[in-house]
Amino acid sequence: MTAQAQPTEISSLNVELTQMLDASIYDEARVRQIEVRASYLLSKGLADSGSCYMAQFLAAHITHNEAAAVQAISRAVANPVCSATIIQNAVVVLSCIGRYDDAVPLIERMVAEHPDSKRILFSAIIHLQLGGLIARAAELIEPYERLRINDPPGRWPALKDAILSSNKLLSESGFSDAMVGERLASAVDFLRTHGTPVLRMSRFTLDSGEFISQLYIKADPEQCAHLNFDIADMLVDKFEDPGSAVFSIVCRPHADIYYTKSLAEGQ
Amino acid sequence: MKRTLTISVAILACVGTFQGCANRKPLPVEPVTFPSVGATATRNVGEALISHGFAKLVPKLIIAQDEQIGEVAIPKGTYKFEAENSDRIKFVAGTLELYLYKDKKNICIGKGKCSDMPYSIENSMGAPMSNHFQQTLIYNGKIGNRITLGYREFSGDVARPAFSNEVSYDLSESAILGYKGARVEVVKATNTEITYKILSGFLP
Repeated sequence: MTAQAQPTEISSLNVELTQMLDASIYDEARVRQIEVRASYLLSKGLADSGSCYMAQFLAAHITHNEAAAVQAISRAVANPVCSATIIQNAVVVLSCIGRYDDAVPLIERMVAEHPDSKRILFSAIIHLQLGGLIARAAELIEPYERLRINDPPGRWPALKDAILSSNKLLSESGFSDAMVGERLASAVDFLRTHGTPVLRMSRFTLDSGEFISQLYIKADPEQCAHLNFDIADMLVDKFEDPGSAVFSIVCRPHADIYYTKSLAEGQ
Repeated sequence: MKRTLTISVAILACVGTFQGCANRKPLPVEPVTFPSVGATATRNVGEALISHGFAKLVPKLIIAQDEQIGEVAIPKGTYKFEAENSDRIKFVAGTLELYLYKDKKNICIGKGKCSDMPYSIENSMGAPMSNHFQQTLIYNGKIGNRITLGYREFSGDVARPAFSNEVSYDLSESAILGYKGARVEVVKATNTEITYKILSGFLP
């Protein structure tokens, strides 16, 4: 039988971590094993350093060690030839821990380094949207569409429509990206201080003229319901502008997407 | 004049089963591995090497050189699928509408205004159907002997995945790359383009 190349160990470990994060199913014992293994590969020079740092910051994020995550991110992105995948994941982690000021320059770096890459522009748009940077996401629509002119529409029209509608709603309400980011950062801080750090951001949705950001946390539905009331109260108390009429932040239990997926598969 | 015509089984099935003359026939939704096993294809960086999921296969009409039908210039290029009925498939580019007649396999701009110009049909995988799982390997490029592929799983959700990943391979080990059951043989790869053959699809 013909030999078959296997993925490098560090890339397989990183796929494992990103899939845990995307599925919101966390095996923390396995995460710690991966963290140790990535450190070993790094120390022995057996894998590229950027990928090892990425494994470290993803693992630290899952185990809620924010200081370690931020430190590994700064090492990962210090490399001038850092891969776009590392930057993309660093952006998501920084957004989840409310560090938008650090996330934005990384998105801009990714776009500046790969202005002709459909994949990177699409990814930048998704991550900007996830981080609440809707106006900037809307700005990238035109350059992205120039690159995908011959592609089938796929999911793009729905995403584009969501971004443009959201941007219109927010700008008509006097909201800027910075204001959305401040609210998200406050909500993330609030959840962290209540022992329920955000591990994944879902997406913005428009519902009856209201703009909703969803944050996935490890909590049961009842706890989440209480937290949602508390977040709403906190935002109303903290921000005196009328933004709460059009913009909500809600947390959802991580198992919720599991139920959704099971229902869909059962249809 | 040699005509290259590659129409998928799905499209041929449409031709065989369609009864109405003027009605538009929706493209079928089916479990698809694209390109199909055994096919050889070339892709640029950022494009999908292999996808599996429930989706429509959407044909594109490719005309390799500038042509003419009567007074009408037919510029070379890619024409997007617009509609299909029992007789013909309609493709468009800008304001120009072309019809591929299924019986004579020629290109027309209207009744009796036809040409036997060379063309090819390429299928692309349309949007995966909502609530159905899709797996994709994407070509991320090659540096030295190391090749990287992005792996994506979708479930009909526009905004996922939030986290990105990629798998790296050392081409000096083998030109056959495997991931989750999908196996592709690299024929030629540069940092911008890859030519490869599909050996097997993703494992269910």
